[in-house]
Amino acid sequence: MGKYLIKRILIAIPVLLMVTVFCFGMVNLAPGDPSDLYLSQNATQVQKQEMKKNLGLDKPVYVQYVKWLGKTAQGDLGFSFASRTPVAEVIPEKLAATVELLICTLILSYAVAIPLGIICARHQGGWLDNTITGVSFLGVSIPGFFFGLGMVYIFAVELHWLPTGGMSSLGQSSGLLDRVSHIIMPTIVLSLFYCSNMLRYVRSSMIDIFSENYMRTAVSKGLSRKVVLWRHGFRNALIPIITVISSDIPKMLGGAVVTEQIFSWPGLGQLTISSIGSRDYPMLMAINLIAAVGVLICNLIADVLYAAVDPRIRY
Amino acid sequence: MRTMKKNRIVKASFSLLIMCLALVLTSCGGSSSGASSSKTSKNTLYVGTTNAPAGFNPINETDVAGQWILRMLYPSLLDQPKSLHFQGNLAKSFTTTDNQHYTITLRNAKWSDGKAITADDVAYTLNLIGNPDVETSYGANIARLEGVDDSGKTSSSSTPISGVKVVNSKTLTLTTKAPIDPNYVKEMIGFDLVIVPKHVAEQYSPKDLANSKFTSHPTVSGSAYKFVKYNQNSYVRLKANPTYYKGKAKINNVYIKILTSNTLVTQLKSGSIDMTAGGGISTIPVADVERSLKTDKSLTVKGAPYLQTQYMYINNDKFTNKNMRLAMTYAIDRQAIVKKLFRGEADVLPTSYTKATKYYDSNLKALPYNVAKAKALLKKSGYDGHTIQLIVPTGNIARQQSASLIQQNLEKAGFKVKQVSYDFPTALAKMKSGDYELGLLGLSLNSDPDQTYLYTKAGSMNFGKVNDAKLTQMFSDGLSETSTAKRKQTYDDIQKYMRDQAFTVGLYSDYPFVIQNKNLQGGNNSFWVGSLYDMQDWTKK
Repeated sequence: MGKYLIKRILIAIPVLLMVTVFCFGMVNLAPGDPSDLYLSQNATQVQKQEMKKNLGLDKPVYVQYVKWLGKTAQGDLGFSFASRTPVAEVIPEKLAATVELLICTLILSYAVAIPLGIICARHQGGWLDNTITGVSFLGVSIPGFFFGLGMVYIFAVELHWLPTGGMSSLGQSSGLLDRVSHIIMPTIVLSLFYCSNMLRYVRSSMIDIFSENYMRTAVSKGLSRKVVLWRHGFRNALIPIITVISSDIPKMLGGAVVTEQIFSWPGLGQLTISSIGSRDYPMLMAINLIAAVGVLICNLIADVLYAAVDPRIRY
Repeated sequence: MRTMKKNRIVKASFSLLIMCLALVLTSCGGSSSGASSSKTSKNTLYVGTTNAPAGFNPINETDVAGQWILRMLYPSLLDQPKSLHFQGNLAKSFTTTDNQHYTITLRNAKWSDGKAITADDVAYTLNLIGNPDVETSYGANIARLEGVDDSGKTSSSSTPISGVKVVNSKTLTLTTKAPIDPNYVKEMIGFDLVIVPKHVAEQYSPKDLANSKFTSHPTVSGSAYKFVKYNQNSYVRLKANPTYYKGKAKINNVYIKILTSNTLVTQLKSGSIDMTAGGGISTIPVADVERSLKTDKSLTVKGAPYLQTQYMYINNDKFTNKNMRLAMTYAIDRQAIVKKLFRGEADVLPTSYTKATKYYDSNLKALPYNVAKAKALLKKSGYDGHTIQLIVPTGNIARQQSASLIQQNLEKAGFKVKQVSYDFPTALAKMKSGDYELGLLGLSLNSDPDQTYLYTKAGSMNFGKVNDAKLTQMFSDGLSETSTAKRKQTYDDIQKYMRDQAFTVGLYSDYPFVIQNKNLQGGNNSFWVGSLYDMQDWTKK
């Protein structure tokens, strides 16, 4: 296992490098000159050249990339074009906000989806299964922004039960309850799709497993329902579930872009949108790098978990 | 027994879930990294804006949101509560006898760290802008001073501006290259520029200033508020400056929240923000204003003409025939755009001068919508029938919607038009380089009527690629004239000439809405950019 992990990490390095080359190329291929955005309307050509020099945009793209890579390797992510602050100062706070939202979303999605998926599988074709499956179809079909705006209108504007957005109450003491009240709506909105999606995976996996011979053997041996269900059934269903989870997390990062906009959640999603608009190359590269590292880590964890849940898998 | 055990498991699982959530909420993100409140206190002002500030560099700020916040942090020499009506702020007096030599006397004022604000600070600020090593967006503001070139720079970083002389700690003089309308100097230097604390800024090398802590985390203030924190794209937090020479602000804290249009509406309605920033940096679709905000009894909503306008740029390099440009102007039903998209909360303008400046010629009428005339002019122009591309920047919903109406109008008159949408930076780059035929764009202008930079060959924003000798001469005359009355006549002539030549099509000037909770006493006035002059007196019930 140790050897396998080292091998995977070593493979991840060239993959990351390729991702950075691709992202740097894409970011620089976008038409529009950042220096135009950061100069006044009366600026002269001389001032524009000066601005390009200060932003490091006066060099060829490959030189800019090598320079960026060299600095990044030393832990220097550069200065944000938009705010002129070190990127490394801005990212941690934003990343923490997004991670908080993602963890709550993961917990809520799977805490609801897994038991409901099993219930559906056990009552396959029954009214409970049909109702839950129907609702889950609705969940994957409703656009997140629409659902989010609807929730804001009902629970914040009309009923005043929850705050309209943000992460905590500014200018007031923000305790745990305050934080919870702010995270409820974005978590529910972001969870809706993943919960519905996971529910359908769990349901279909468990239906397949219930018809397996070893399940009948376990029941005929006189094992309790709980042992049959969790030790023999659910454990075997975990492999496809782990695959879904490892692909869900990077997707959630993408989903967070929309959710963070709706709820003014001060995370990486909001920062990504504004950085694209302001052609903030160093910030975008840092965000891309984090997303790429996140995906690689998720895949690595999934591989480790495969071996943990299935003794047949050995590296 | 079995049921009890099952219940215990369910309870334990639920407790574990709650603990996990609590752990996540308390461990991630820090205690104050957020952007909303459901109730607002009397001692805190919550302002909503749709535009994030690009830092807090007092000499290099191109975005309107940043410039607006900087006014809360650093003092200008003059206030401008109404368009071209100046009153002393840091400057007790700002006088001239010959329109070329200006004497500025400062009042007794202190920076937030207790040091006196002196003439040296003012001279330092101007010299910093004029330093060729320093990144600045205000070069044009000082370009008329003696000792700098046309971009507002001196010959070397060690050469001070000869037109700036410190007489004593409270007095300095400015000398312009030639006599000039005092209002021009008062707006470009007295009002537009904010004064930098020399003792803080000079700790950094001029070359490094743009990327320094001085510009990202200002520590010393000279205006109503002090900087506390900026959570990028989320909020800016300010605190009252106790040493402010107009008196400590009555509202102790300010949070400027950066929100989307939708969230701005919901936060206004739920009482989570007290006011919008206004002035084009808190854009809300008119339909939402009419339907959701004007009907809300807790809010006041006012719209008034301002200096922002939307144009259809015509690439004059490609459309050299005046008749074709005029045909486009007659073909577009601008009244319908104003009626349908802005419900009347906008003006159709003959040129790029808006009703918010006193140089606007109210006797000059915009060319009317006249399809027959447009068709006749188009026939005369020799239009070859090629499909004309209309560049539409994304982001401004009303502008995007107006593009469809414009396309329909132009096609009705006989043009073939195709809309091409780009994100704003791309559209801007294409229009700057002249790689376009028609394009929609908006601008926020100065009160001063000089628009040399928009309509002359050397103009930095001459996106229309206008190169007309007569117009260039007229702008030059307007700038060298020192009497306001005579300037008014010159700019009346300019507006008539611009309308009749149709270098660009002025589409509309939509009113920025001033929206605030009735609990707030004070807030923005109709001349938005000058609204902060009495911010220290704003209160909340």
